[in-house]
Amino acid sequence: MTRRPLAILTALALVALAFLVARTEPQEELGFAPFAVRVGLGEVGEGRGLQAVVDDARLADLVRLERWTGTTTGVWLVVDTRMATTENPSLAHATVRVGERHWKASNRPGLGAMHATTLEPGLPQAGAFVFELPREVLEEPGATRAVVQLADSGDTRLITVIEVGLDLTALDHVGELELERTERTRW
Amino acid sequence: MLTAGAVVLALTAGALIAIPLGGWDTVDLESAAVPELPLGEEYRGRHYSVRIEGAWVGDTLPDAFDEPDEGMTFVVVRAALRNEWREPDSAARSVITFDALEQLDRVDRSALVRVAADGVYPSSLSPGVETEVLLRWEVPVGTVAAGEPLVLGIVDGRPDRAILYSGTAWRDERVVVETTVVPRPARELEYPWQS
Repeated sequence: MTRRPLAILTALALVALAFLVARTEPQEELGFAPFAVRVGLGEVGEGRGLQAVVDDARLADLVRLERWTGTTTGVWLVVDTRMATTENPSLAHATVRVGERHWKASNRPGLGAMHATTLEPGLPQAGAFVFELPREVLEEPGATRAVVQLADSGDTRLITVIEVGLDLTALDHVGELELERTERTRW
Repeated sequence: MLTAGAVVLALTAGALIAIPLGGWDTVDLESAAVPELPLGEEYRGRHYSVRIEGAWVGDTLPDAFDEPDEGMTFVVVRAALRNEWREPDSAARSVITFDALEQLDRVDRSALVRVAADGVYPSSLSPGVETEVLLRWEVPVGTVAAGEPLVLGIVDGRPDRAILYSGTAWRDERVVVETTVVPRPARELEYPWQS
C-alpha cells in the first residue's frame, strides 16, 4: 500500500516531464535551419564551405552596371561583398530580411553582379548584390535590424550562411549609383 | 388524416415561399460569379496585386528572333504586378489566365515574364515592389484575335505552409476577378527598353 502514492507521484512527474519536453522541443523549421555565422560589417565570416564579408551597403534610387540601367518604383539596396567557397565551386546567393519579409538579390543587373558569380574555393570575388525593396520598408520598425544572409546555395537548409546585421535607416541614400563588375580580389 | 393535412399545409407554405424566390429554376450560384474589374484598375490581391494595362496578339514581336511555333501565335499582356506576400516568388507566371490557355498543357499555361523597364526575365518578383511586366504566351492561332474582346482572369489563392519544401504553398487558387481587354496587333507592340 505504501508504494501506491510513490507510483502516482512518479506517473505525475513523468507526465509533467513529457509536457516540458513537448513544449521545449525545437520547432520543425529549426531542425532544418542554416548554420548562421554572425559577423559585423567588414568582418570575414567563415563556416563550412564558405567565407564571406560585407564591406559596405548603400541605398540608391537608380543603379547602373555596364549597359544596364536599373529603374525601380522602390529603392535599391546595394551590398558590396567578397565571397569564396572553401570546398566546391558554387553560385553566390544573398537574401535580406526585414521583419517577416525577405528579398532575394535581383537578377536584373545581369552577369556583372555578384548573384551571377561562380565562387571558387579559396579565390575570393568582390562584387555587389542588388536588392529591390519597397520604399516603405525603410519606415518599418524592423528596418533598423535588417539581416543580410550570404550563402553558396539558394537552399540554405542545414548549410553555412554568413549573416550581417544592417540598419537600413542609417545607410547612405544616393540618387544614382554606378556599380563595378564583379572581379577577383583578396581578403 | 391529420398527418396528410400537415404535409399539404407544409407543401403549400413551402411553395408560397419558394415560388416568389424563383422556385426550382436553374440559377447561377451567386458566390461563383466572377466580378468584372475595369481595365486599368488594380485588383488588390492576397498574393499579387494586378493592374492590366493592355494586350497584343500576333506573330511579330519587336525582337525579330521571337517566332511562334507552327499553328501558334503570341499573346502579350502588359500589367503592373506587386507581390503582396512576404517571400519573393515566380508565381507571376500564372497570375493571369484566359480561355485559350485551357487547350494547352499545364506547363505551357505559364507566361514568360519580362520586366518592362529593361527586358530582363526576373527570377522572382520582390515583395512589395510594383513592377511593370510583359507577360507572353503562345496560343493556337484563332483562339485570340486582335480587335476581339479577351477576358483575362486574375488568379489568387490562400497561403499555406509548404510540406515538401520550405516556404509557402498557395492553395485554392482560382480566378477572382476578370478584366476584358481588346488586344491590338502585335506589330504595334513596342518594347520600352528598346525605345
